[in-house]
Amino acid sequence: MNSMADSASAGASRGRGGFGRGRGGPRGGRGGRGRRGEEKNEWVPVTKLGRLVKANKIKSIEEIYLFSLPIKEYQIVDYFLPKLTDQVMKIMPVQKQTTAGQRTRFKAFVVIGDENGHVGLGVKCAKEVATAIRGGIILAKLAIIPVRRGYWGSNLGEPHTVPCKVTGRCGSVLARLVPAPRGTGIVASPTAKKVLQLAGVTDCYTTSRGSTRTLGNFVKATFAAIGNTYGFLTPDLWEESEFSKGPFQEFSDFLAQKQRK
Amino acid sequence: MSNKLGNDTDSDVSELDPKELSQALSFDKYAPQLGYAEDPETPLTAETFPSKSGGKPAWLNPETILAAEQVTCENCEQPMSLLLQLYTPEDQPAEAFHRAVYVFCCKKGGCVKQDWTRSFKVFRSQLPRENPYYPPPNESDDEEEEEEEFTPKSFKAPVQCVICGLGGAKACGKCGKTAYCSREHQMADWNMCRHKEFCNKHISEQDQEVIDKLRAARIFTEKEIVSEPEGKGEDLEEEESQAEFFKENNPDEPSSDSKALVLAGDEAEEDTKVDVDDVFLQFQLRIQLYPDQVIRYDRVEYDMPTREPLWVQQNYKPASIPACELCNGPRTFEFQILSTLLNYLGVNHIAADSLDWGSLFVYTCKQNCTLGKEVFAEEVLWKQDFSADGMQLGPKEAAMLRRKNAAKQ
Repeated sequence: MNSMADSASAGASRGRGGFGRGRGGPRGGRGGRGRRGEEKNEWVPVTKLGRLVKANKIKSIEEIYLFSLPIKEYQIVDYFLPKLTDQVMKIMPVQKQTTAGQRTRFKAFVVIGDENGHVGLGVKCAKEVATAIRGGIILAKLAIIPVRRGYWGSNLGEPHTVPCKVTGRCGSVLARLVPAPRGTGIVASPTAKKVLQLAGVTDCYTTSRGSTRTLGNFVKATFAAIGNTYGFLTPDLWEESEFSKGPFQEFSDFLAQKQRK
Repeated sequence: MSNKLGNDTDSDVSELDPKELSQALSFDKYAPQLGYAEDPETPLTAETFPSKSGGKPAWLNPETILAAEQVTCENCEQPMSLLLQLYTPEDQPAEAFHRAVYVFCCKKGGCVKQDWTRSFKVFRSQLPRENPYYPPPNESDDEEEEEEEFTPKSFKAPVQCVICGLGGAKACGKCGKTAYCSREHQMADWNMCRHKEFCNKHISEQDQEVIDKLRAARIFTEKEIVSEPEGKGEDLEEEESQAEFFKENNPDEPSSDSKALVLAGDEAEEDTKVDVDDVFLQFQLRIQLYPDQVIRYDRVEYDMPTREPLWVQQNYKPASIPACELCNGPRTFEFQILSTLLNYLGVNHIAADSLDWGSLFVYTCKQNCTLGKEVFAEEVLWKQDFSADGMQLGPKEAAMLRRKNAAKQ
């Protein structure tokens, strides 16, 4: 038998959960929701990778690189690399002609790195400088790339230089990084030097060609060169390695057994 | 959003920034309503007309409920669980005074990955103000007015499956007292919810609690969905109130409009080749204003123009939505379910086949046509996944995108 509750909640008020346009819409303002304030800045992951990272199922960012998973949330990078320093390479005003004069926006080039093998480059254009920088930092975090360092001579101590001669191109600019002996320092123009420092490369010779005055292209070329360090097959990687299961693959066999027809 | 001029120097950056976005929102008359998942304060029974995610369905029409055969995943042939139900009353038409939308989905991510069109079902149910089950609500707030005479209709309440809440046509063979909707749930109850031990025996309160918990674990975790209209973002609202306060006290501050000099020579003409996944960036910027939202409800006014939902991907958009089967009228976008809801459902994320989506878009009949003798009307759902690209597309992907856009135009 159906028993009718006496509660007035079936009455005039819609309670907390009504949606849509009928009967005046939901009660606006903060009245509907519960607590606010304490968890204001907590990250609610949107992607599956984000959920795995938040649940501590992934041990390091190198696992994500190993399986080439796209990183779409910058909080993932923040979680693994908390000590990132950013450097604004240049703020460039760019203009567009409109019927009412010129519309000026600011383009910010931001390089971010932890000085220990990870760098990222972000470019963002916005109407205000601060917004451009903030957006640039986020895009730089999303574009973080691992850097492979090696030795010039004997493999004594920690790796300090690029493993081999690598080159990167963007536009007309070509940037070439050459291994250097320990103690050389970074022999490069101030822009490239900053990028290499944030990458964690201690010693390096560089050569560049093309219009390096176009800072955007120059920084991108250096960034591409650094990125190629892990793309180069050196003899010590000749050994065949076993493929391991990615973070999304771990229990697939187990589940396949469990499924019965 | 982005300008496709000849030598656009900004093609490698997204055109959006949070300030612009929030300013745009402040002029948005039709700001969508956002839903948040919270723990239920009071039990979510049908009389309270709840909006909730997970748990058993709180049927709007208590006399006729869905049977397992209508709510079966076509990939694995097993009954689906309630993902979400929303209570969406309407002022017009009169038959939709009480209205609820139920979304069911298969708990197995493998089915969704295989062919998602067969693993989601949406149902609409509505009741007029004068209906045999609930008293008509008082228009005025004056509670001392006598309520109109109302006796709810007495009928035999339909049996619900103890696990999922759908129609329980079958029963346990041994005790005959526990109802199930299908063989799968009967086996699950027997093996995993310990009915084997407790069948036909006396069950103490503690045991009953344990059994209830085990049974609740077979479906999605129950949460209440609370609604709020979208504002301008928590940070911006604070900023604005501070800015107003500042302006009041310092009326002579000039506005900061920086006039930059025109660039000379080389730097003005930059050739850039990398694109950003703009659609996802737009999506993320919008979501970040209120990061824990799970639902975006778009039908906020009558006679508002049909708007595009907040897509998460450039490419996989529905070409055309089929018209309503009952009235042949068009179906329009009603609300979308975000992937943030997955954090609240209690699913296991590690497995390769765990449930995952970018966003689910629900399209329902625009006119809320009358159901006639039917109690439920089926509606349409579209699923979009996040694109598999990183945020900054490489030159190959960017070229592909450009070719696709050029081909479209």
